Amino acid sequence: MSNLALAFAEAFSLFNILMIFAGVLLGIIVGAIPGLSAPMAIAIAVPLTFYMDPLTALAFLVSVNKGGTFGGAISGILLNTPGAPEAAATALDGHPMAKKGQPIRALRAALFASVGGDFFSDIVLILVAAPLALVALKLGPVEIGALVVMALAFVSELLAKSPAKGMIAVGFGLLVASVGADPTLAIPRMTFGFIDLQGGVPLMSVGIGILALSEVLVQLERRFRTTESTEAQALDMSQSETDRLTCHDVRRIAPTIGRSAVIGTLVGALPGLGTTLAAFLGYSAARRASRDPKSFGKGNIEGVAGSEAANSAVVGANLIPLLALGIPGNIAAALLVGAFIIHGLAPGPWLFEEQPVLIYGLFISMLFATCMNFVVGNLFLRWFALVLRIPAHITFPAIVFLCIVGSYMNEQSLFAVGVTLAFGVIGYLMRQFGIPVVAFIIGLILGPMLEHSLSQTYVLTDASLAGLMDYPIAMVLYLLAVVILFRPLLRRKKRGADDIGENSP
Amino acid sequence: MMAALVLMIGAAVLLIFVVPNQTTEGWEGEFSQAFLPNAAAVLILGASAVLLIRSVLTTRRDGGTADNDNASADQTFWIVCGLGTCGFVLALVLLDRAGFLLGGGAVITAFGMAFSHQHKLQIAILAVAFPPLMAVLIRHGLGLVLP
Repeated sequence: MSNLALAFAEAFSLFNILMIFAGVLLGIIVGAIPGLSAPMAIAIAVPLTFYMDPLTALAFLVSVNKGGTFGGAISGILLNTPGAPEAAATALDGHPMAKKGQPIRALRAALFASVGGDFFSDIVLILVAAPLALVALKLGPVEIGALVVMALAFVSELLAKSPAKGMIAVGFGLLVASVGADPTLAIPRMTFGFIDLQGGVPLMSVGIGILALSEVLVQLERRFRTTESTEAQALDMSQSETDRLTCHDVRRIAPTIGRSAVIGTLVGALPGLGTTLAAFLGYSAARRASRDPKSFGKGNIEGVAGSEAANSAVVGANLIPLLALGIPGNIAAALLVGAFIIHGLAPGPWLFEEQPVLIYGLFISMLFATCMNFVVGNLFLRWFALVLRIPAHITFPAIVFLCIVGSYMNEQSLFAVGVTLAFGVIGYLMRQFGIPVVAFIIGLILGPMLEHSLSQTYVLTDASLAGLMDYPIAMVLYLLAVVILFRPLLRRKKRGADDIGENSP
Repeated sequence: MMAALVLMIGAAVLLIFVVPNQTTEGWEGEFSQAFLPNAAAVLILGASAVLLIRSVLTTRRDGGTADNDNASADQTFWIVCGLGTCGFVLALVLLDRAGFLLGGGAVITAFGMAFSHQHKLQIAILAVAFPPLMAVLIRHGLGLVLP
């Protein structure tokens, strides 16, 4: 009880409240800029948290994520140019609504749905994470190693169009993770003589480069392919009688929000599925359940609520595997791992035992940040629309500079800046060839955990398969990993056999 | 197809030359520090081999026209890639030699001009004002001095 009281006191300290406010504001602004997304906002914001205490830092970053997730809807609705892929589903009905002269109604519906979905997933996180962590604490290194292998298989299969590309991304992540001192002998390896690499490749420098800088290059390429005259123009937000969210609207979208919140939470709790899938699943569920499915795509408010509630519900739920198992499920969670590490904490079930005040404080801060998102979103809605008027030639050069400064602040060395710049180009190449950067980041983060668990497994099982038989849970997890990896192959074979069956006389 | 081939060759080089030279052998019966890099290289090698085989099969089936990996990697992509690489190398040299204020200003100008060379004044104002503003904020907010 005293832990809970302490957590309340820390979560509601003036500085924490201010940082939550700042985080939500920053998240919405960055998320609203076309081409920028919530994970990018987190990547840029992480260096700002170096000198904060862990709870404030995490609360700030979670607030950035929450704000950024809603912010994506602003450009989607007003410009039909989603800030992030998940906002594309919101734009399907949001933009037609805005074109009909109801931009405020669409934005408020998106905000209401976003906050609803987010709040639901926060509650699920609070209820589920602790019991799951209790189970996870009973797992030994053999089972943890198997769990990480399964998570990597899951991520590589789901995050790319082809599992082979997902495996390349994970392999590359593990390769970069192997740079520096190994966990058993603590002898440097793969450093090529660079002293700066003896502590490993700086995680946040890689994250900033591969997420934010590569996106600048993507936007530069887009700029080269389009002329300024063909750019989307923001819709006018002039006041009109019909342009407001009514009680009738709220009653109409409430069931949609509830349904999508459940979908988003389920998707967010599973590693690798991500917000885009959740948004489109939420949208299609809303369409199926609607009395007027034909109006979807033409400005149906349920479409806006369905997608926005689902993609926002991922935000809280993606912390379930992170806090309960130590496995980041998506890019935002992976970046939060970086923030945990910066503050000397290893995310995982042990945090519930070792840092109860931090965990309770984080949960309280998350709920408060959701409320703050609603307040800030409502108060400054018209102001956020002005962000869309900032031209790309101002936004992106400023982001390049922020990335450089952020990376420098992380390690206080130009070597880290070099790593960020190099991974900016690598990330751009990876995106171009369809190799998922998210799978790479998750591989990079889970690499040390995997190696540590496998080295213990090696000792505990006497490096034999027979020894592994004593660990049935691990065996099941390894088998699941194999099934996940070879599932597409089996599916293709089955499809091939079906085709032959259909074509044979 | 080319990308898969390059990845395969890279992974093979890693396995044969790089990992053995960049890792130390532990005592017998001990978990080798070469395990993770080797496993990663094998994963990349295997996956890129699958991609290559699939690409060859698709090309044969479609009569030599299909090349999914390079389909979107056109001239514009390589121009941006080259510009980005040059810009980043230049940024690193400038930051090292001229510091964050001058170097940062130059980086902002270079990228601003790449995005739009019609708004020189706006970009110039940003290049002059933004790095000092950030330096002041970081100095007073976080107590860190940018070189």
